[in-house]
Amino acid sequence: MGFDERAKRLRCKVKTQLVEDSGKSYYGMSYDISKTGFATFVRCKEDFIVSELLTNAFVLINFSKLEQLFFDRVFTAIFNLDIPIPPLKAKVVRVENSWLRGFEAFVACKFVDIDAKSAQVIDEYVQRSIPKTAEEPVAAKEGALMRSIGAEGGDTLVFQFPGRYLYVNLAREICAQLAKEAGLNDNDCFKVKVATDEVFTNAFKHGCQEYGTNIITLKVTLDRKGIIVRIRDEAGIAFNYKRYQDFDPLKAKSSGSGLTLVDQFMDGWTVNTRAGEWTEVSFFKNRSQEGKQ
Amino acid sequence: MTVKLSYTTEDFPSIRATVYRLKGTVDSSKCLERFYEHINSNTATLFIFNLKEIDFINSCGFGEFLVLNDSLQNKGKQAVFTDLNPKVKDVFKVLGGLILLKVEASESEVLAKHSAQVKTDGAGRT
Repeated sequence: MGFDERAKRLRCKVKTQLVEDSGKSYYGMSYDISKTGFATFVRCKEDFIVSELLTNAFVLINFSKLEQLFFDRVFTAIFNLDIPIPPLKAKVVRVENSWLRGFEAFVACKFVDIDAKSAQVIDEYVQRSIPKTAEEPVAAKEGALMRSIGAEGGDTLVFQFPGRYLYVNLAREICAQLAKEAGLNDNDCFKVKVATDEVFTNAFKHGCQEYGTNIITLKVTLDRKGIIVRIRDEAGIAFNYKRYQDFDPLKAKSSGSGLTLVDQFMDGWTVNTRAGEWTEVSFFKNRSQEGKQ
Repeated sequence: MTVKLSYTTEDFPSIRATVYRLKGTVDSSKCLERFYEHINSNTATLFIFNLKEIDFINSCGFGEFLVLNDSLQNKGKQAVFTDLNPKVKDVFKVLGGLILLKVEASESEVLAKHSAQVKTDGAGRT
């Protein structure tokens, strides 16, 4: 099951509260709302999850228990939006463990019997809030030397991952190792590893549209100059890269610092989007003049 | 994803300080969860986090250090981060860690300073 009208989705941080019939609440932050449903990360501090995480369990362990916690129930969904809609009924259609903020479950929900008026209000809110997407490539890091993506004479390796945060560790290790093969020094390999981690995390966090059927594609090109990494998700949600270039730690919000690391660690990066279909973040790192350390 | 972070501790009761020597990866937002139980029951006032053996940190992990720092400050305690290796230092620099957190070169320096301070405070009492 997935959401319809992929392009008409609101990407913003909205406080969400899922309330059981018994009155127990799960609080979270939603990044996607449409007139048919929403996705959110909800805090889930069940003891069995705490103990498993402390014993280095993989994400999938206790997945069945997590599913039992949320599936086959209808929650009352309350959003912290400045629009007049009553609490809505929502049924969970997908659950995943999330390591992004600790003991969180990523749940995707479809509204149950949403009335026409509420659907219309949400739809209008989404329409007003959707940023203008740009299909043309967006140049980044003005003044810096920026090679065109798609280097000639290099080798490109392509990896496809299911859209699960579980694989970010593997993706960053792959890129770090390939950066080493490309002749980057140890520090630069580390920076490529961090950049890959941050972009892949964002691809999972913001770009997993079908929440289970989506793919995150990683392409790594090694050429004479260094390494180029491209990470593509299947959501097609654009974002303004410029806000990550003037990072002020004293004014920083909880999100966004990851792409600041990409901006500062890499020699250049770009963002390409086809609205509702895919978003690709590309970055590159050249070999330093000193070569390997 | 596995939690790949371990730590050892050393207490200095005479100066109410504890050193936590972290090892591994700080990349998920609850990787420091295990510390909170230990910290909450620790009566030390100075908490030194030695990051020499941290081999990877991302923005999420850095954020957890900020949360940890705030948590200790709210309890009237102090957190100091020491022995940053060059990679960790690069991340701290970009994300403002050198401004937002108390960072010192080494745990031994911090212990020596704190010990001197405790002695001075003790000598000043009548």
